[in-house]
Amino acid sequence: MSPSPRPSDAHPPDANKDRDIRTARPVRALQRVLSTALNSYATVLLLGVLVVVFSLATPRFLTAENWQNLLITQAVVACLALAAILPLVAGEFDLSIGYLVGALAMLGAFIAQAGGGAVEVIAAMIGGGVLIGLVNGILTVYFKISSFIATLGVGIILSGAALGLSGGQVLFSNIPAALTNLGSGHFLGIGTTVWLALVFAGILLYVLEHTPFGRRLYAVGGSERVAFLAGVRTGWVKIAAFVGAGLLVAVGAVFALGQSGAANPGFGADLLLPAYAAAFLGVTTYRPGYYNVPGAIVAIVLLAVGFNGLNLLGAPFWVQPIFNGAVLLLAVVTARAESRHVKVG
Amino acid sequence: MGVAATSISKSFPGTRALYRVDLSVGAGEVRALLGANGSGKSTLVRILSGVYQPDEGSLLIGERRISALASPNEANALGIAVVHQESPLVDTLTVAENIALFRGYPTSRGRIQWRTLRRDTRELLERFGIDVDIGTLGGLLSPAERALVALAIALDRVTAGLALLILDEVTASLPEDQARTYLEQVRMLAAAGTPVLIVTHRLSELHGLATHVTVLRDGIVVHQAEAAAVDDESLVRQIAGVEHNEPETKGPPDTAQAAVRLWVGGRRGDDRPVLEVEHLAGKLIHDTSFTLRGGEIVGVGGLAAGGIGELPLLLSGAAARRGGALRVNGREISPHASPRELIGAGLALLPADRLRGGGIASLSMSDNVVLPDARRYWHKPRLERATLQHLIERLDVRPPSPDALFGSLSGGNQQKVLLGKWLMLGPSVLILDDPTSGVDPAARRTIFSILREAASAGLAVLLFSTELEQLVALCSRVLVLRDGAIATELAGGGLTRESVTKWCYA
Repeated sequence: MSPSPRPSDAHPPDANKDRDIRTARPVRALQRVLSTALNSYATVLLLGVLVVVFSLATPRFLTAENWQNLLITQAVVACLALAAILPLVAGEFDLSIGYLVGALAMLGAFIAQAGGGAVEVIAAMIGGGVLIGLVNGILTVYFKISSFIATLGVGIILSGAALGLSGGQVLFSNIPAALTNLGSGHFLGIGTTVWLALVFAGILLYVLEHTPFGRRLYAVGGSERVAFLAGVRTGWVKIAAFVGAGLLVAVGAVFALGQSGAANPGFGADLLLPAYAAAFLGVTTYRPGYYNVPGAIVAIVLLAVGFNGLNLLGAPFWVQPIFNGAVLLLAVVTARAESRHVKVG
Repeated sequence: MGVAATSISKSFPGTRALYRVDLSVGAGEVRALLGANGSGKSTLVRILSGVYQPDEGSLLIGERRISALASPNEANALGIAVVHQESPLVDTLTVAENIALFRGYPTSRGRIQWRTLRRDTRELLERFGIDVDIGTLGGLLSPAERALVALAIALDRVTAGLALLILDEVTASLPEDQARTYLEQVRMLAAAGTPVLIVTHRLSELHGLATHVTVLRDGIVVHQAEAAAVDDESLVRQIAGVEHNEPETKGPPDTAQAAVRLWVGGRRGDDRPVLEVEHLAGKLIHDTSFTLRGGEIVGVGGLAAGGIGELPLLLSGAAARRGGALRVNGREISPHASPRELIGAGLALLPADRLRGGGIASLSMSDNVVLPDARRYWHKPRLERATLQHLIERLDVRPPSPDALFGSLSGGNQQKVLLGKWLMLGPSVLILDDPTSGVDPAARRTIFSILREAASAGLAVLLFSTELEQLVALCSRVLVLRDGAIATELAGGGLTRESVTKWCYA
């Protein structure tokens, strides 16, 4: 379909007669390596550049303490980005994840305040996340509502529920110690929640790329009709994607509650866009053109490093969103310029 | 008027697409441009329509000699109209609005003059003798009507005298009866003196239409003649570039190949039918009954209005059945069965629309092939590689790389991959819905020979095709579908191109 074949596809029949082409080959190979690197790992390169620049610019950047803080603030966003990826792979949006993380944290704090222990609190949060995922999936699959609208509606309801549970207050009393220990704990100098987020990322990576379910998920996202005709239970696959998203959001909510030791009724909604920005930015990395886990993780670290470095250099508070948005647009535009096969959104 | 291309060469990095190609179309001529996928046809069409510029050569358009057309707009300005396979119509706009997207809305002080728009549109369609209601939504038009509206849009873009009308595989997505209506229109334009260049894979539709034939192979003109002077069989040889190829008849397959056949199913011990259909009913289909035994290749012919598009979907569980019974391998299939259950029972469907129903363009060849049976390949990358290697070798898929994106393959290679995908699952019944639309003659041969081979090993094949020739050449019997029911069954001596045509259209 693409009019010009790629250079690697075929060699000109008279290439051996042409000396210029022969001498040009090593140069071309190098170009190819560079173009692959730029194509698949532009964000990694950018991350490297930022780390070097910030390290040279300020001595406070490359310290253990700074990196601990930098990473631990990203554990919750990482869970939400992973949650966003699952429905995106299946060709659906879940806009409820921001409100859901706030509502679940509030639910946990509410149960704790009412005397619940760590087990009850965590079970309720996980159960709530799975339930909302199921609702999102059923609305999308059985009621055939566009997931964009269905999950937005569910999210708005959740924001009201969170306000109701809170009674307009920040809930902080009687949060189980197991949770707060999890939030403040360290292992090898890095926050426990960061390690756990990476474990969940690893699990999701494995599920998406190495299990039949993951392949079916990509197939449904590629063409639901084709997958259906190939015998895939497309409805189940989509519902499972939403349930998985709800589960990952619940994990993020547990981390958030543990880290801050309190639940704020306004928490969550503003995490939606950073999570999606990371998922979209990830499309330019690792497996260009597809939503993928390693890409999203690199994107999260990239955005966090950018914010942290600019902060240390004394940039004003409003620079972060501008930096995030600019990086997202720049990365996607560069990736498109490099490869027309990349599709985003 | 007319167009002549002289000694056109064009290369892309790594490949030579065209080499010193000469081609001319004069007034009143209809030249057919033939060639396998990748032979350079599309490149030549793109050069003639101003999308690409040739590396060498020149073009004579009317009286003007130029070295290249700089853009599609320049091509239009010089009188070259191009119609592509995909009709450029928006489903949710009316015919009049669709046409206005191209020629502009008539406005007065920024407000659309709806009455003028309707009048102009009606005039335009009348000018080319096209009978379509201008208030109909694009999505509700029949395929032939869509194609005709696209033709009107293309002709309308040419402001000066018409120097050349290029039809780029326009009929590939049309059922044969619709294509007939369409080509009749083209014939009238040609009779009025319009030079026409027609690119197609269907040789049969050229009879009585084309006056000249040009065959391209690997970017070189290998054959150039008056249409009356050559027969289809020798044209196919020219296109495929093989001198001694097995003729398209019902012969036994090559036994050496059968040893490593693709179809992994086995013949049943008893002689029970593998597919039993009784009084099947859907939207258009209301009373269809037939049976199919292992080893048979049975064709189904008919017109779109008779329900030929619906029957494959009803049989495979992709559309809801309203009545009747369906048994696969003696197993009763519930009316609410999904494709998944039918695949489990041993019935697979190769759907008509390759990119919407057949394969996933954004995934690799490998991902597409293992999709129906992903569990089997879980944690067995070596098995997956071997399976793909087998499929690629047996079906001669190009490029031979399992990681190539499905969407980047040519139509013929896409269809080969999809055929392999289903055969490797080992179904008892394989239903193929128009498997050769947009598939080049060489790939067709491969597909047919693989089908014959699988059938002789015991697979039951139900072939839906809008190309009647194919049904006659490949099938032992042909069911003709009319008004939602089977009008007749043709077999043996009664199965000829003429009899099938008569039953379909009469």
